[in-house]
Amino acid sequence: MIERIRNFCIIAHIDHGKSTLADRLLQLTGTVSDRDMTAQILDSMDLEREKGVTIKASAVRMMYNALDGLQYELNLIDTPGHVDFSYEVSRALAACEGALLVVDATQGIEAQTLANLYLALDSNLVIIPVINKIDLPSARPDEIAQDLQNLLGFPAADIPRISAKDGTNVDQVLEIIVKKIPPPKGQIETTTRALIFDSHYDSYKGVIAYVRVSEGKISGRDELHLMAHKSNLKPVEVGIFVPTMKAIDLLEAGDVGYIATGLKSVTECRVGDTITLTANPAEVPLAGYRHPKPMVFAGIYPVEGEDYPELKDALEKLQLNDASLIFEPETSQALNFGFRCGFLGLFHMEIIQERLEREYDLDIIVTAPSVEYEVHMRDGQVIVIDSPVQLPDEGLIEEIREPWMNLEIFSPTDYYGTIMDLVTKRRGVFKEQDYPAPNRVQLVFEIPLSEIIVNFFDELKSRTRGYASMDYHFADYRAGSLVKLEVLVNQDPVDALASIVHKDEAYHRGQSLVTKLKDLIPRQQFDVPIQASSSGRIISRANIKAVRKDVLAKCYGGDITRKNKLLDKQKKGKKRMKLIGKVEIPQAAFMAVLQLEEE
Amino acid sequence: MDSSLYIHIPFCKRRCGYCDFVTFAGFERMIPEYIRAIEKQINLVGEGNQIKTLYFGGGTPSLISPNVYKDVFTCIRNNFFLLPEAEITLEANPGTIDWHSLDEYRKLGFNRISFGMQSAIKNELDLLDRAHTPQELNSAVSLARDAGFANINLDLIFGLPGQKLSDWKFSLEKALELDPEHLSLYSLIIEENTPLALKISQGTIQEPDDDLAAEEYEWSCAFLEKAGYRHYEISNWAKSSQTNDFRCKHNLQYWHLLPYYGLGCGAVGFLPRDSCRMSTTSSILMENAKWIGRYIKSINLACESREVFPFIQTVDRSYEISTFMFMGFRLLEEGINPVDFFQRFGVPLDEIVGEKIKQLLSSNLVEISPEGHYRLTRQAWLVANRVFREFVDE
Repeated sequence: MIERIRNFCIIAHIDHGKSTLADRLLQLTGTVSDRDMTAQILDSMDLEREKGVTIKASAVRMMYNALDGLQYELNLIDTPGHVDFSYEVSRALAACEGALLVVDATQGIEAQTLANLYLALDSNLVIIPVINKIDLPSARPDEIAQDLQNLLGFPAADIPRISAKDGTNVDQVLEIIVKKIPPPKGQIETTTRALIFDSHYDSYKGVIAYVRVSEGKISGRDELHLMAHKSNLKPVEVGIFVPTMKAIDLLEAGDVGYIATGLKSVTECRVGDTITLTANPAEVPLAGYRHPKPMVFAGIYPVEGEDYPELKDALEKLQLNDASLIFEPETSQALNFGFRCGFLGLFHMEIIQERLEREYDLDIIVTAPSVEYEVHMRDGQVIVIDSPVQLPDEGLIEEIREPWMNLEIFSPTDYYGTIMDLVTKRRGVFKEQDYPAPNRVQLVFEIPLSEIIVNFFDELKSRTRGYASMDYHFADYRAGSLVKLEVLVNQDPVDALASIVHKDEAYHRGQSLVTKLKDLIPRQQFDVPIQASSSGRIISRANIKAVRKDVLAKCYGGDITRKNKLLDKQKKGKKRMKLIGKVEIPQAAFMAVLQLEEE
Repeated sequence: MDSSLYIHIPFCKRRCGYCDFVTFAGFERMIPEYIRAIEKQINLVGEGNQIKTLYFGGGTPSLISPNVYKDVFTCIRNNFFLLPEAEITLEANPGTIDWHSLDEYRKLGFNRISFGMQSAIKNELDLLDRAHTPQELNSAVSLARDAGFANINLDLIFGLPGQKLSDWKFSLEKALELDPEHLSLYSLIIEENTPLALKISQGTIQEPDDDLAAEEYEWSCAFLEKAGYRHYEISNWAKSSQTNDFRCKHNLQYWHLLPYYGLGCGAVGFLPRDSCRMSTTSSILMENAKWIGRYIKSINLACESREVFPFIQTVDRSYEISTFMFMGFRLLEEGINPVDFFQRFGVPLDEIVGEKIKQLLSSNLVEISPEGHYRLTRQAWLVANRVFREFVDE
């Protein structure tokens, strides 16, 4: 009965309580028994639970007995609460008819609240604002209800004020879902089209595609066709999430469920693709498919060379669930064998880095992230590079173009000045401002992506005591006067320390990099000059003096095991350092590029 | 093969801020029981073999009264053959010693005494938490002379936080005024988890300056050479003549990696293959428990089960070779004699470590002495770890 289906999602800024609300809905509808309730069911990965970030979306079917005496099928589609995944969010929204907009009663509207709201409005969803965390002493639900009324035109009095944590008024939310969100449209007796809005890899059933059937129906016996990927597949089964996977016979128009595809890689079954029946295919796919393009690139290297196979294995496993992660082998003269990886954005990069370290227990070095530059050569050729190493000789270059972003920052008005300062220091250009709520300012800038991939978010957070939030989207490519900044250690250029920077910053950055390296590189057997060079000129220089004393002062009979161990440890420590020419460089030095502080 | 005995006395009145040895302050009540355990261990391991050096180190061995040592000596003589010309050393704290006990020690058979002088400057002694004053050291040395000690060592520490070269010169000159037969000069090492390391990490004491320490060391080498001392080991100098060689025979035993027993808590012994009945099949390392209480317990257990020794581990050949190499290279004059190596390991040195030696020769860190020994070049003295590291196991 399509009239009794409600497909909806929850959109919220990080930490505003999306997952907790989802948990309560699951409990109230009896989908999950109280006994099985582990906090925040939908965020199944530890990392998500810890960071409070939902990385993979989930979809759950709940049966709800409404006050009108009828039973409704509610499909909750969870969305990634993360700016780098806005494409995935948009696909999840496309699978719904309505969205709960959860706003923290203490924090109010934030950058991602707005960003997701605009996405939801673009998808023509019915928006239901919900004010959460009213149990907190600092909650100011009335004020925030007023803000929401100003923003959405939704009567402040009608906005439910809930506490997902203790369950207060969550029942109201279920009733509003049934009343306000329209049932899906779409005919069952027509050609089949289903939208893939998420996927995950299951080692038994292959890629599990999360689908919303728009029209027609899909059974586990049909041969299916992926319209963008142009391939056919025999599904293992079709089913629904309750919230674990449960196979059923048929998914019909309006339904949300899964197709176990048996495919080996999520790249074959991309989010946004349309599934139809091979036997009776649809003519046009559902709108909105896009192949997400990595924006940020960095080298990932194992600290110990022998961990290379494990790193490769880990990246492959991560890619099973993350089609937007790309990587290819890369060799660095300084760091030996590793991978050049592409990420959707800086948060995506951080998550991958953390998962490699935490879930796969790998010691890795991540080189300074880079963006993708378009290099226009004098001979008319255009090459695309994502690493300073690939930059051709300066004499051959006509101009270098770099990606610019639209950056939105949402903050209490108190921090207006310091945000302006931060952004303009990083070549950002102010575009406009808006005051969507009292004491809240939304600032819109354009800024080169390269300026926000290193330390920008941390700096923004620290300058605004954690109150500001940000969102960014690709704008366009623009020419910039960019130069390669090289570092020479003992006269040898070190590839892993090179970067592409704006000409005006080269001198300053070169200097602080040299100073930092001077502290990080231990004294060697001989004097070691450290130099920064740009456009063929040395712009900064420091000297690491040779070590004069390296000897065990005391060594007697009782010391032999200890001294043996100590010498062995020193020897191993030296081995762990990377040998560039004759100079031993510790891992930390390669991270220095990432940690140049603002002055 | 003549052996050496090291006996550890872990008791101290108080611990010095830089010390990370096996020492305990405030446990003096355990002394009687501890001494009994030492005697039991002597009973367990002694087999009448010849002992050419005996060394009581600490801790503070001079904290224990001479009549207690009397019993220990008797026990040693009952279980080993203590050679009449044996070198017998007592480490002593200059602040807690009087003529009467020095006289008694001397009569017991001690013929060498080692004072922890550390510095002749009051502030520096305070920085190191040393309880004695410069004056007390002076009088302790003259009392020892009066008691008949003809072989006196002074330990000094250089490279102290905030030290100036002139400070160090002052201390070493003061030490020479006392005309010691032997000097051990150590650069201060900040050991982990010591009060001094804590103060440095907190910034209340500045970090020692390695460059200054290097300068002080070089100055000391030149100064002591002029004063007629033999610089026979990286940190050790001795007066020496045809008739009287004051190089420390006990420590030479270590550097030659010849047999020595370690007795007492935290003590370590090394017994090359066939040097005693415990090492008939391979060389062994003895390592005793580090806590006084556990040491006593382990010795009692060993006595009950009549096991020769509870903490014996066999040493494989590569470990022994690497230790032999880096201990031998500490001896600046004699270095490593390839003949000794061949006799000990049954293969030519060049066959085992020839490649490494060749590299070290070409980088000028090692040279060949007139007698055909391998030894450190003068420029390698301050960076000898570069040589030592080549030989440790990987």
